[in-house]
Amino acid sequence: MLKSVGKKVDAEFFALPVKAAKFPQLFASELEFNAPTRGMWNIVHTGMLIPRSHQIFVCAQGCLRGVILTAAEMNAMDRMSFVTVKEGDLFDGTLESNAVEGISAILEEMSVKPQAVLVFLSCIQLFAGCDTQAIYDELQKRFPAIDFVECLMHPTMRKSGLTPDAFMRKQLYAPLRENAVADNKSINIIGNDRVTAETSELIIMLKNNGFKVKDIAACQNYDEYLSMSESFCNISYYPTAKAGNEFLCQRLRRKFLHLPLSYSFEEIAENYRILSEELNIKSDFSQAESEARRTLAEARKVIGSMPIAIDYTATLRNLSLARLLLEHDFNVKRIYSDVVIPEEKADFEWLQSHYPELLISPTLHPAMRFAVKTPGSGDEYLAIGQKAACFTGSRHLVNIVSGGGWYGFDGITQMCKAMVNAKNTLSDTEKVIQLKGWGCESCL
Amino acid sequence: MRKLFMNNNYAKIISCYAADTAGVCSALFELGGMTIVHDASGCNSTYATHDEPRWFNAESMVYISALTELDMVCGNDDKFIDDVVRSAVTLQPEFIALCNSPIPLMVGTDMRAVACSIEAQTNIPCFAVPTSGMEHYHVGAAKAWELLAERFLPEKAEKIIPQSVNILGATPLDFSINGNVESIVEFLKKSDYKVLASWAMNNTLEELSNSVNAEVNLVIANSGLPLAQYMYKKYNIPFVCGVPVGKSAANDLLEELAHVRQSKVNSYWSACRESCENAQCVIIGESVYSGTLAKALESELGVSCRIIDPLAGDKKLLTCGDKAVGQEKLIAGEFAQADLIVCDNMYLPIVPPGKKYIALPHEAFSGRCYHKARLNLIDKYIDWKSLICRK
Repeated sequence: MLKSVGKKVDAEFFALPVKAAKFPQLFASELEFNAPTRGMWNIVHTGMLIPRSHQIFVCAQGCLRGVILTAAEMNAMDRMSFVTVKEGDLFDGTLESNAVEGISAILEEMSVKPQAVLVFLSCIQLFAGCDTQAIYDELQKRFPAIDFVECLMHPTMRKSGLTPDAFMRKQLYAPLRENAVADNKSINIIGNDRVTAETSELIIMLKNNGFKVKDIAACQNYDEYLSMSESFCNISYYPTAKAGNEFLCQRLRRKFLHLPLSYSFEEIAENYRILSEELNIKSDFSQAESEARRTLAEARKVIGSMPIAIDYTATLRNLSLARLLLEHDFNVKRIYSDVVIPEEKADFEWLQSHYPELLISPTLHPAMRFAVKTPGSGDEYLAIGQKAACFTGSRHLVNIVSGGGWYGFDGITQMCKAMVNAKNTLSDTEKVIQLKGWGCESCL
Repeated sequence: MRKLFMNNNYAKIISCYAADTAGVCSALFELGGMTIVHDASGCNSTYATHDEPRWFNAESMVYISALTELDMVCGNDDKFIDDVVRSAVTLQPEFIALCNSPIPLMVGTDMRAVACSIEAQTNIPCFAVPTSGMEHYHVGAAKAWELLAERFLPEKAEKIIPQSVNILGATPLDFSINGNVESIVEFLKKSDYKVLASWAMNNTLEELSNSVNAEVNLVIANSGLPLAQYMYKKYNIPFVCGVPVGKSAANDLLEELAHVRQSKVNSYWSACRESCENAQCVIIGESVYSGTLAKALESELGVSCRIIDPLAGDKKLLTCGDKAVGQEKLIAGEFAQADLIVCDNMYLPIVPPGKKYIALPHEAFSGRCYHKARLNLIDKYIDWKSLICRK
């Protein structure tokens, strides 16, 4: 039961009908609340995807705490170390040497050296004008057998250039070798937290056409990871993976394909048209498409007029998903989102013209502190995403983050099946939404 | 780059303690105020996830300012002020507390001036807690309570209430929400004490103002010590440092409370121990709790103990033989010399193989990782031997 220690405020007051919202910033920048939903991956979770790698953070204690305990909760403290930056270090010219000596000491104490070390510097080094390149150069000189990966935890710069998340997805592939010979039968899926479902027609089509599909999330060892250098084509589909893929393809001189995650039948078909043209393959997705349409109709029958809430943590294409469901007569009542990403502009405009009264709620607004509902108090809702469950109080939860590894027509099918499952079951939402890094190991 | 010097501020495998900003948020959490960390992102999520077990179930107003590079470079304090004012006017907190993270600290944001401006615009008491995000949590909590006391406690006591006591230093960072603080209150009540206030769990801001009428303060963590010293200076309320851990130490603590009520002389009771460098047992952790634990182990298990304070707390809470050591390598060296080690579970990787240990999860170090293994040792008969494991 929620215990009030402040004044009650009706967070509903801050919800907007979509017709009144402005692209791309739906709500003015304010103080920010942090909802107790922990499934979204952070840079530690993502960095751990590089097999046999070790992470070393060099930053202030307050910043260290979250990343260290992220690793601890995923039972990966043996892959995490840190160097603390003290206040005096900022002003006495020792930022570079402290980082180098601290990291060196950590590595020297390891009997078996990692093959890759992700060195995370932070906002303070960037603000202090620290010579970050000198740090990496010196480390590489001292430990030539290790691949040092330049990483950043720099939320202060989140609105200047690549976001920390997008930057991390770019750096995930930094050790891939530029001199690898291209293999025309090998393709990488780039920038996802988890492997794309084997049931996806994308994977089926690629495999049926003789391609070997590689994904960092499936790599068991460092050599397997490095073999991703050979793939002649890199495909990304998640919005925050596009920039990293583009950069990787330029660096390795490989074919770049970004086939956006979508819940639109037309957009998915267009993706496959591009795929078949670029790879010169036959794309047969008719069966997957029919299955998606059939499952969608079936889900509508089961779910009926149950109100649905969708948030951006479930999928960054949450407006595309809302549109699909509304087009198929589902009762989408609420969207939880703070911004609209460029990929969603058309869906946003469609919602404005077709469902102008649909409510959009912020998740970060200070009043949302008072919108966290007791689990079970809103079971009339079907919640797609952890924040939707948190703010509606529903235990009918589709518990996924970042699209759940579902893609294409099969992505629609899987989503519908998960919605039906959520309709028919109650989750222990207080427990599941507080587990960090959806899909990762957890010690809790 | 030439190798210039050693840097010992690193850890290969152990955790790090919660930071001062988290200490501020935790100390003020239940008091109906609004606490804002002037930070880009991360501070709030770290605090809410790992340092604040009350986050899901209590509606406390703790926020970040979501500062950006541009705001910092251009010195755009107005946005910060306007955002706080707008939210405060809407949410009407009892007070507003601001704290600094590393970036505004680096650029020299004048947080006291910001607080003055916010207070002038809202008529809500506003104060800046001097934090950096680079100190330990108890430093932030201590500063927050001192500033709160300065702003909200009455000038003088109305009437000293006989046999009354305040508990100072209660946050879930040191006393997780598994009944520890409630047990301390219960222990004092059954010993005929009237507990006026607990700084700051299970009490409102209004209830805290009654603190000035207490006969004695019980400091249960080093975060409560500066407040105790302030209240001694201003209201002449003496204090005792200690936690009623186990049975024998709890009884001794009661005696000390009675003695201090009479003598009006402050007592660093948890540090009044025989401690030597070659003690059999090393206890690492917050110094008031660890000191009391040492007393309990000495009297109930018959082992000599010394303390390692990794938090650089007040030296008065240590005795000769105890050490203030925070670096992993040095801590490992201390562990190697002991027969028995009492520590948070996340120190176990540096406990040498074959050593005996007692694992006591400490929220400020291991967060929620070992919630299932939390212990409440307050005023309990403890079967110490059953707690001892061998690595």
